[in-house]
Amino acid sequence: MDSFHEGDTEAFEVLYTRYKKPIYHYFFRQVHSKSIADELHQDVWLNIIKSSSSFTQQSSFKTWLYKVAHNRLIDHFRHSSKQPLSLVQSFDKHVEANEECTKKSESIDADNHPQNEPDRTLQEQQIGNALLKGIDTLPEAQKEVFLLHEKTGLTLQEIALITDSTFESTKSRLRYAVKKLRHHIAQSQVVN
Amino acid sequence: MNEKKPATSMNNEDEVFFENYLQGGSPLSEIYKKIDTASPSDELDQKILSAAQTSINKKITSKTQKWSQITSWAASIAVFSIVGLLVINTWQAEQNEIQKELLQSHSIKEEQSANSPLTPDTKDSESKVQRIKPQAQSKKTIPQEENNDSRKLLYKINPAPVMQTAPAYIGRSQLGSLPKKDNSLPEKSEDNSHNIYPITELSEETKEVALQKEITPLNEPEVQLEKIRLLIKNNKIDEAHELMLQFKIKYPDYTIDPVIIQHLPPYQE
Repeated sequence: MDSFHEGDTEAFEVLYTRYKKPIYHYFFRQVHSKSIADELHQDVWLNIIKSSSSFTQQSSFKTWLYKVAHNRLIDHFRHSSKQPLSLVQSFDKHVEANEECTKKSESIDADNHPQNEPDRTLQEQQIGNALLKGIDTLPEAQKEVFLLHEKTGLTLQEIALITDSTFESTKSRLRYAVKKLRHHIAQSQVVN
Repeated sequence: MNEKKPATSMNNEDEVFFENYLQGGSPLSEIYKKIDTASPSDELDQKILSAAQTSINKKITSKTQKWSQITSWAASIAVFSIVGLLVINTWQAEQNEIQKELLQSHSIKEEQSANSPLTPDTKDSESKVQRIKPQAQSKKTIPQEENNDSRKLLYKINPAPVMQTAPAYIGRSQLGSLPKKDNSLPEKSEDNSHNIYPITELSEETKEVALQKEITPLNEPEVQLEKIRLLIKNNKIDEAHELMLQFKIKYPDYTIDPVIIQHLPPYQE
């Protein structure tokens, strides 16, 4: 970040390549709309570019980046009429949007694992769908903690800083989120 | 032993699963990694990277603009200060010239006043002489080139009147034989050398002039002459003659009114 502030654009490119997917996932999992996720994603990175001089290195760049993303998401929910998602309807949209993305990964998996494991793939897909549905049903706070923990590699202390809460609260939210998802997946497998 | 259970229903199995999850060994994370494949488009990536490049370019130009702004400010301040100094210097030079001219004019005036013949050394006499001058010139227009000698001034104010003819000297014995004549003005003779002009009474103007004169060391000759005039007028020729002799000893170079001299025998210039 210091290199970028001094004028090195390649340094910024490195940072962007490293964190663009987790940030995008973080937005996509919560807004379930590619267009909105693109908009939020762009806003966050432009904000990072604009306020690069204000980065004081009191915390890591990752923490600062996700803090900015968190604030931008809250602003989006405040200004939009939509409530933070929880319903099946939004989940269905998320599934439809995600199927396009997973097709690519499935084709890669088919090349690596030919013919013999179509059942396994289907089972994984079902578990994956159940997981996504379960994530959608989580309360906002628990969902955010879970998403930040899963893709970003942030510690619970860092997540607590980003979400303006305490360590114990963050840990408790994650505990309940994991428990609910586990039970949801188990129930979906039983149903299937 | 049994650990503290949370308020909600969380059994040991869930707790174990959660601890395993935190350590990274849970299948939940693996499943999530597989399904979560969403990523931004290449177009969006290019947009963001170009915005970063633009911001870098703007920073560079702003830095150069900042330096150019600073240098321009410094240059303008320097120019204004130089102009201000030049203005001040020229104003001071003009002031000095004006003062010099004033001093020169003042010195010239002092010289002129010092070179004037009637001007005494003391200020009082100078002021009084200056006061007398306009009064003396009030009746007659006297050109400035002429000498402003007050004695000659009196003479001019009182020109030679037409007076009675009288012999140069008439003895006492002959006084009685002579017919009494009135004091009318004598007839003019061709030989004007023996024309004795009586000392008439001073005119009002000259009286005023004389009164305004205070007896100062410079006016003392005039006072003496005035005394002599009075004596001659009162027909005290002998006393007037003696006084005249004293006057000539005291003021040998002083120019005496010829009218006075004519009344005192013998005629002496």
